[in-house]
Amino acid sequence: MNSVNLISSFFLILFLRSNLISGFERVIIHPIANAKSLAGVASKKMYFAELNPATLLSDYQNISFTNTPSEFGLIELKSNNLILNYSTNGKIYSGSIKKFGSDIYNESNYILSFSNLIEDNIAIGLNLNFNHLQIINYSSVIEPTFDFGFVMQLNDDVTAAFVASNLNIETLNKLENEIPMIVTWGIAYQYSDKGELCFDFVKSVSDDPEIIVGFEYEIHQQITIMGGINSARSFYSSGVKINWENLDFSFSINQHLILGSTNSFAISYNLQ
Amino acid sequence: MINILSAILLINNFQTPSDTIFTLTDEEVTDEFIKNQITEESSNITLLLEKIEYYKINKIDINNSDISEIILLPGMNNPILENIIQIKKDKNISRNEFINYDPENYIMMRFISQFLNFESLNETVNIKIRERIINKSSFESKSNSPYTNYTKLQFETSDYQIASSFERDAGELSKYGSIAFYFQLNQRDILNKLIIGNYNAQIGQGLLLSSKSKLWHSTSDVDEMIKEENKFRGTVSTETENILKGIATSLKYKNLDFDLFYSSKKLSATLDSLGNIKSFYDAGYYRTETEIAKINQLHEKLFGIVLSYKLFPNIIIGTGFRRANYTKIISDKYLETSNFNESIVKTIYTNLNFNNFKIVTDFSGKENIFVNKGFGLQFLPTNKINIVFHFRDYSDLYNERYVNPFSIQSSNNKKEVGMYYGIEMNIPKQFILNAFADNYKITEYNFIQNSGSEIGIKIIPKFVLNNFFIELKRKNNFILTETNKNTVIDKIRLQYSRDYKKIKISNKIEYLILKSTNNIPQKSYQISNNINYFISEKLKLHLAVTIYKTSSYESRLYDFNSNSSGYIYFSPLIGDGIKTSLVLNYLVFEKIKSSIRYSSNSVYKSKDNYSLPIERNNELILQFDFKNY
Repeated sequence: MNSVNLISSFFLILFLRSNLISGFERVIIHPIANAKSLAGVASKKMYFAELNPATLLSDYQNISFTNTPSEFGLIELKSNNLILNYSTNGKIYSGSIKKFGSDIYNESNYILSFSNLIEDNIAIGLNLNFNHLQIINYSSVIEPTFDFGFVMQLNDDVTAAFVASNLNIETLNKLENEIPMIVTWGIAYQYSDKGELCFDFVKSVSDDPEIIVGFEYEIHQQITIMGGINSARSFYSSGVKINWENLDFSFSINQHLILGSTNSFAISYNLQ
Repeated sequence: MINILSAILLINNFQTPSDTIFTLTDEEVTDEFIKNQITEESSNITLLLEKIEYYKINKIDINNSDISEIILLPGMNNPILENIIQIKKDKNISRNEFINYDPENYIMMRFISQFLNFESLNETVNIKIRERIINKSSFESKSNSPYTNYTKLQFETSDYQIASSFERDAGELSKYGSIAFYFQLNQRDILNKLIIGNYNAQIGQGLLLSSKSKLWHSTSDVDEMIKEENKFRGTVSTETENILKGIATSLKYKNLDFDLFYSSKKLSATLDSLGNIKSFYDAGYYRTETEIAKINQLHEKLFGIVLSYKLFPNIIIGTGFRRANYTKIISDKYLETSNFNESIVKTIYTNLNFNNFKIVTDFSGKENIFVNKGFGLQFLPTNKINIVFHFRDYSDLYNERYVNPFSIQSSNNKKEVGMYYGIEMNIPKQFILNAFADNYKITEYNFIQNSGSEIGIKIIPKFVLNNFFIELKRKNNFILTETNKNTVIDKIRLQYSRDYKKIKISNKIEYLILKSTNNIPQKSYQISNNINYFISEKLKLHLAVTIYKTSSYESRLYDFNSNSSGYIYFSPLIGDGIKTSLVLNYLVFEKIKSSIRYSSNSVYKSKDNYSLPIERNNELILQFDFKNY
């Protein structure tokens, strides 16, 4: 597909109506992101298209499976997430399937993503999301949404990013149930080869801004610890990643001040 | 060479994108220039655009022009001027050679090249056609077209220009669309210029008696404050209130300039029970019966003569008058008399232009010619410092300070006294400093007195980043009423832009605090990102996202909109919202630039204790530009 067709298709889909009647909020992605309270749109240590479609990582190939058995302790809110990243010539193609909900209420996200390293120090990315909501014996709806991401290297140690999620926000009157349009700015500081500090600023219409801080540090060649705090959602989080040959095992715990804690587990296989 | 010195200090934030794929059109280069020059939401954007438009049409012959003419071009700065001085030695350079003469300043050379004639145009006719279609979600038409159409045609040679435009708003019948047209004949013998059709006009330096508001207070315009202006400009603007329709001519014989203009046009207005004009209608929409009832209720006739004489090479004096007649009595609430249907204003002005300073004065009035006074001084002690001072003292109603008395409805002041100070410095070399201060006292038509001051400082710390600046501004306003309301607005802006090989980015953060008597401080902010991605030589994508949260109308901020090629303006941001726009440009057959722009503004406004729904305004614009050259 040449660039004209690609862009035309993009615009075509942009004008499609998106009347999804649910709140597909980013709560759980992967323990590595969860452990930082979902900070890290500018990260050079991880890449999750759901967080930011663009990445400066040029060689990133893996397959991950994430399991969250009970969000905030509610076994009705379990989620599973399968993520595949494939990279070639500075381009990363990514796909993921996420299932969330219970027996009678299901949310599914299907994400196709493309990140392109335009210059050595700039990348842009696009996500095409299909969001499927099903309430058994009531309704089922599937809607496409778009995300745009941009990340750049400011200097040797600092990267900055900007993400606009759900660009094709809808104008229907079912306002309370729309997917929120979210804009995120982030800065990541690679303070050494072993770690990174991330600051994100997240804003959606009519909500107060969220400020998220996250960090990771490699305490041992095979063990990395992570932590984060989210100002608006009252999240404290931490996690650990253990590497064994081509496999990464990761675990995170997100503690909400009122709602309780959420644990996530993941296993990743690095294809490089 | 005074003007050369003044130009040295013009701020220029452009980088050196030596490897960029240059698919930028002239208009995009112009948009980029304006974005980098203007950081304030004041009215000067229109003036600068007009000036750019003027010089695009009235190009200066690079081979046979004087440096004093070239220095007046918008955006002229010292490196470019030095280039031109060198280039002029080598006759018959082509436009391409000119643009590529200095790769370090490619964009500015490209921008300036639009205003220069490199070869004789006698043999060729340049044709430009634009078609623009707009669809807005906020407008729902049941009967008429839901689209706004805009068409513009332009022919130009070195001798003359013909341009016309037609605009029909969504919901209007074609017969209520607005048409603009002008024919302009350029210099021949004693005729300096002849315009038939729509035009803008000014008498003197434009400190008084212009067809548009001229005074502004911004850090960006210190250098622009005092320059010789052109008296008449053809325009295809469809803002019918601000333009004159008729004939304007400038004659020049030796040291004497003789200008004459006549305008006759109809204005839309609301009538009172006596059939007098109650208020003017300037929205320009004629979609409903109520709106159509306001159309062409009043006939305005304007006539004016201006004479100016060059006493010495450095001194010009001039005098003139303007007469306005109306077919109906105007009882506009801002007028102190209820029988305004004729007005004659006289003017006298001087222009002194010496080596390192320049002084301009304008006086005007009905009976007494010294009722309204404008005075400007520009002083350059060294080539790195530019100081500007401007004094104004107006005692007439605002109507008497414009060529077309009812063009600016928002100004209702009766008396205004003010002083403006501006300075630009490039000492030391590592940073540029640009500061201004303005003091004013305004007495409104209902005797409410407003007094206050505005100060601003803009710093470009080149030792930190060449393409980064900080601007701080404070406005203090005191309204003398029973409650004596005092308001202080503090604003800080950080802006960063950078060009890469295929990407241009521009980011801005702005924060405002408004403090007023007996009220809780109001805080507002906006963050905006602009990304231009040159995908290929023919294809370009532009994405802009702005988030904002402003507490009230008083603490509003402004966003710079580039609404497809050739349309740029500031729009106010009120509420809690996100604005996005996506523009795709594609060049077809090398001659037609097509663009599609989709934008949305989602905004939430709280009202008392009610949670209002989020308002969404979507807009789709299709635009096609054809050029035969």
